[in-house]
Amino acid sequence: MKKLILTLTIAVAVLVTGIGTSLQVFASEVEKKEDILRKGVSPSGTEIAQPTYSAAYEQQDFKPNGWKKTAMVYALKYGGDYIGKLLKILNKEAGDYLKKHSYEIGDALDRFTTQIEQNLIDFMIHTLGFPQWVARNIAWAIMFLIV
Amino acid sequence: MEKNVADELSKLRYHMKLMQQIVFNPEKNAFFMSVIDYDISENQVRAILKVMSAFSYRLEKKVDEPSKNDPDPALIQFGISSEELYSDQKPSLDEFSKYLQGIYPKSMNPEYLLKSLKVQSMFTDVCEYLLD
Repeated sequence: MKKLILTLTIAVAVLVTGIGTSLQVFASEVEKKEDILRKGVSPSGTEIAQPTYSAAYEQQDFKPNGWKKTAMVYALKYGGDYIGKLLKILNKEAGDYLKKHSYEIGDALDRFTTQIEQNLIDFMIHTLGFPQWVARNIAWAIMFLIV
Repeated sequence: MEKNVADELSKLRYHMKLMQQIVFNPEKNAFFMSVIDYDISENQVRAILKVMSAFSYRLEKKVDEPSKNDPDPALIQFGISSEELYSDQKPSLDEFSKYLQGIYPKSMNPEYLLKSLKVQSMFTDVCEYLLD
């Protein structure tokens, strides 16, 4: 009986010490990560680049804002504020193309979930027959507003 | 990767993207030309266009109301608060110059930048108002 009690006590002590240490390590890791994010400096002292929107987007860790993309799709298909915003940053000629084909572009935008900008450009050039620069200007403007 | 090298690479990739638009129609992409000429980064472009967008709202108040209380990361990094940007006053060239100085501290003529935006038919009404 004494042996059993002794074994149990040791087991509990080891367990508690282990959890305590793990929690401390976890807490310090979280703290380190927060510190790196806040200061943009790694533990070794070198500066860490804050990703730009494009870079982060290409790395797939910065996706378009869900509700903004949905709002853009609806605006393109059925009209809305986003059309006005788009036309304000679009070249006039590109804006004319957009107005004529906004439903199709909205429909395509709705379908694309990855590589959205590239897919939109391809769709506008190869399916809608837009000039290269018009397609790129429209895709750039859409991404500017939804990312 | 060191911050400076990573920043430069991102900027080059962004400028290449703009170049893909410019190359087909350089005359109509005057703003993008200025972005490359002055070596302006993507984050700086976003901030400039956000300022123009806010000015457009202040002049017309046609588009949806922006949220003054939501901090905008595109602007915060340049020390511009949404509350100040969406004030009830009409915008002015001086105010634009002040924001531009914060976004792009190197020397740049704000009037020329507005003219290039206008040539590219971006925020035409705001450009005309500020240049008047």
